[in-house]
Amino acid sequence: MTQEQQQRQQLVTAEYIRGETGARAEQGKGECAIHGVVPAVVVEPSNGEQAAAVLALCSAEGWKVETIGGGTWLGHGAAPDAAFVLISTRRLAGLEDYQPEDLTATAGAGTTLDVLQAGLMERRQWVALDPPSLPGSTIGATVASASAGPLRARFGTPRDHVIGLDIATGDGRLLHFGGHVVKNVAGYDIVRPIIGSFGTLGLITRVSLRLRAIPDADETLAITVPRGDAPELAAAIAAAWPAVAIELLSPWLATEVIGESAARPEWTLLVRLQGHPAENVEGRTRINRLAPAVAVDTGVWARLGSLEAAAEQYVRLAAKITRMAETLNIANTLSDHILTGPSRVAVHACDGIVRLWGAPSAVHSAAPVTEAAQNIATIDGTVIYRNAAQRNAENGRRARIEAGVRAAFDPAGILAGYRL
Amino acid sequence: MIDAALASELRSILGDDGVITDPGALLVYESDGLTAYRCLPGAVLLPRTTDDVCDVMRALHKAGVAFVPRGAGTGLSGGALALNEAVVVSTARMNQILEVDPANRLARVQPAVINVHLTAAAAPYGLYYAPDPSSQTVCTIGGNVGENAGGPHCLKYGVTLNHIAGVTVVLSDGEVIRLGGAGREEDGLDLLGLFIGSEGTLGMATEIEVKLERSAEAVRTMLATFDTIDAATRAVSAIIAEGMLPAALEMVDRNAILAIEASAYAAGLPTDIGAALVIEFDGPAAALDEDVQRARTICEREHAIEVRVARDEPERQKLWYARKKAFGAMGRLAPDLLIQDAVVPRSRLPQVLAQVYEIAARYDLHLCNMFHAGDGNLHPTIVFDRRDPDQLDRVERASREMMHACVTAGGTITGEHGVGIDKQQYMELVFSDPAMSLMCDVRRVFDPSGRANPGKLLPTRVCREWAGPATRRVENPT
Repeated sequence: MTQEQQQRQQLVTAEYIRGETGARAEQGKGECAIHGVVPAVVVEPSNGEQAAAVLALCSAEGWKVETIGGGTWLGHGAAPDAAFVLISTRRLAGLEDYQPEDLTATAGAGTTLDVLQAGLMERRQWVALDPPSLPGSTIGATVASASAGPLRARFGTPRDHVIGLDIATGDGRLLHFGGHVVKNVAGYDIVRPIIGSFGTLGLITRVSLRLRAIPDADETLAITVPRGDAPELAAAIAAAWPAVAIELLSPWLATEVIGESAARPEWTLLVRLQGHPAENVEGRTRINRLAPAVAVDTGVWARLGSLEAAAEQYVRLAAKITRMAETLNIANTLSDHILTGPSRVAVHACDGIVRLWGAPSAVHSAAPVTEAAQNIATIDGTVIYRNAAQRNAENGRRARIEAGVRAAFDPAGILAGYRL
Repeated sequence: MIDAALASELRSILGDDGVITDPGALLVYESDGLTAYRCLPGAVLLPRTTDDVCDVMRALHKAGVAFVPRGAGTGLSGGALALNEAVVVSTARMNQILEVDPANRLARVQPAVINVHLTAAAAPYGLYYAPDPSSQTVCTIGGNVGENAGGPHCLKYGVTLNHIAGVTVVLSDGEVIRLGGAGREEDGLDLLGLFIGSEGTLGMATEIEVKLERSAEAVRTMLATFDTIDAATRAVSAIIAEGMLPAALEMVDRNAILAIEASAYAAGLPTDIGAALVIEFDGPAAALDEDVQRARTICEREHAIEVRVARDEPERQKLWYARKKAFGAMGRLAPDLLIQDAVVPRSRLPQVLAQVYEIAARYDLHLCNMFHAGDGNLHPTIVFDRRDPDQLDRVERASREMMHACVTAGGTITGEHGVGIDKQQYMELVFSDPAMSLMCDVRRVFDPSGRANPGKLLPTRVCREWAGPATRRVENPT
């Protein structure tokens, strides 16, 4: 081992692993297993510079690296094929720069969504994102996985909320892109490909976000609807009122989410209204003209997010909104093959994205997912199977460009390539 | 000028009328909206289809000739300037709206479709295309994608990035890739997001899928006038700080108002005030009266002289026409305009604007301001005569100081006009060398031969292979 290598190892060992957090990190290794593969070591840097130094070392040594926030999405992609270093954002936490007058905030990547929203709540502001999440889910992982929930209907996905970020690249450069302003076209928009890159470009260490004011009124309506009529009704509601979320739930899922004891016989549309109180009254009136709606607890959205985040077997199917009925049929067939027991189906009715989850069937085969992907391709849709390295068919040049972009961030190829 | 063999090959692809080499005809393309820079292209090509563009790109690739994609040429940063006799690939004949799909709220267009024409095509379905740059009556969707264009209503609805579902791109070697796509959810890197705003340096968009918005049920447009710039900017900051989200929040200062009112675009704005705000709310009618009342209260708290709501659609249109044509109105004041573009955090507007006016006064320059106040997106506009070398020098120095003031306040060097050739000098104010070096690596992935709009976006000291040979025939005001 060269002197330089020894120095690097000392730096990492002393500072990041054997420190006060080291023991806890070591104990937690098993909890951080990815598809059963346990990391060789868990590292918890406390700032971006440390994260970059660790990555520089791993890159120089050729050690494979995985990054982790709350650990919610570790099942995404295929299993790692070698021992790896796990870099956690746990200590990169906290609301670092909050400018309520500008409706912007910068938070460490390891800041949990709960802590972030609670910090903003004091000034009646929020990040208008409701990704599938569990306690401990972080903003860094939300951005890295481009996770969004039903609020995407009005507010979009992390792509529409992130105005800047810091990233420690695969070879240990700590880079800053974007800023604290809400409009910015300086240079390439490097922030966008980092969002949703699942740790394949580097470790996001800090995120700057656009905020919104918490609305005066926030209410949710539930409408029972036969599955066959749901796409048309959802479209009619969207045309009648600018709801912030319109979500279609399968009967079993709706029962769980709404918290009723008796199973619902039909599918349910959940519609969320936000605005002035008088505005919501008008919205409710218009929606009731289309179908009888009952008010439900707004906590349904958090319950839906928790159930989705905790899914064992999880597939997303996407196609245009007008193809929602066909997409649901493909999801239904897929469900019969890959799930056992009750399946949960939820649809972002604003953009036709169907999510399907439940307990995996005893006999595992990727064939049904492949078949679903082929079927949905006929309507120019896509399937994302969270539990495998299932990639959509795409032309070779695009894939080579993507690989080239990844190599620009991670020349040694140490980052979790099996994720995407 | 391109050589005869290449010209002949290109004519065999595009026909005689698809290849312009006559020096007189090329003059039309010697600059874009930033007229301070002029440079004659080696040729101008006019493809009609994606296949045409592929064939053209293969021919240029074989010949090792650089190219510059160009829409309507309304860009304000010199992005469409053909340095070193690069060939301009104009989208002018790729102007078809291929499909409007109201049920999915989508449209598929060729790149030269004019922004406002797309909205006109969508209007019968109660839909429209949201990004509305001031040049929307002439600028193209392809150009908007290249620059990630904004506009007044981006405050509520977002910039071009937020409204593009997918693009078909022809790379510099003629290969085609599809990025994004309506209804598709890709499990990979967001290359579409990377491509938007890449200023023609990664390839050329030949087909674009756009998202359409539902037309607002109701609109309220307010005009608030103030004695001072400071009072108006304080009102802007307060509206944002209270969490209100107008569809648009624009500011026009006294000098700009004087220019507008003396022009064909006069809207009856008072000329004895310091500044005016145009504040617009849209949405369901039930929501708007409360928004208007809150905004009125804030403006009055900041000592507005008058706050009024446009009585009808003609009055509203007149206000917007005045705002969007303000740059045109300024053309009467002097032969040249330098329109800056920078963004600052909204809370810093009062401080930064005070600095901007102080700088202009110190250099004895005539400054007008009309800008997207709600986004913190400033457009300090200096009217001047470049034939006066001393005035030109003062313009350059003042402009640089203004840019520094914006960046020091936590802002950035461009919010919607792009970097082009004009802002390269400022890139290092907002990016470290390693960050720019990474951008350079990314560029190389898309365009290994360095022929896609060379000499733009990144400083040549960072991206040397894109500098090309020494620049010739660039008329720079300096």
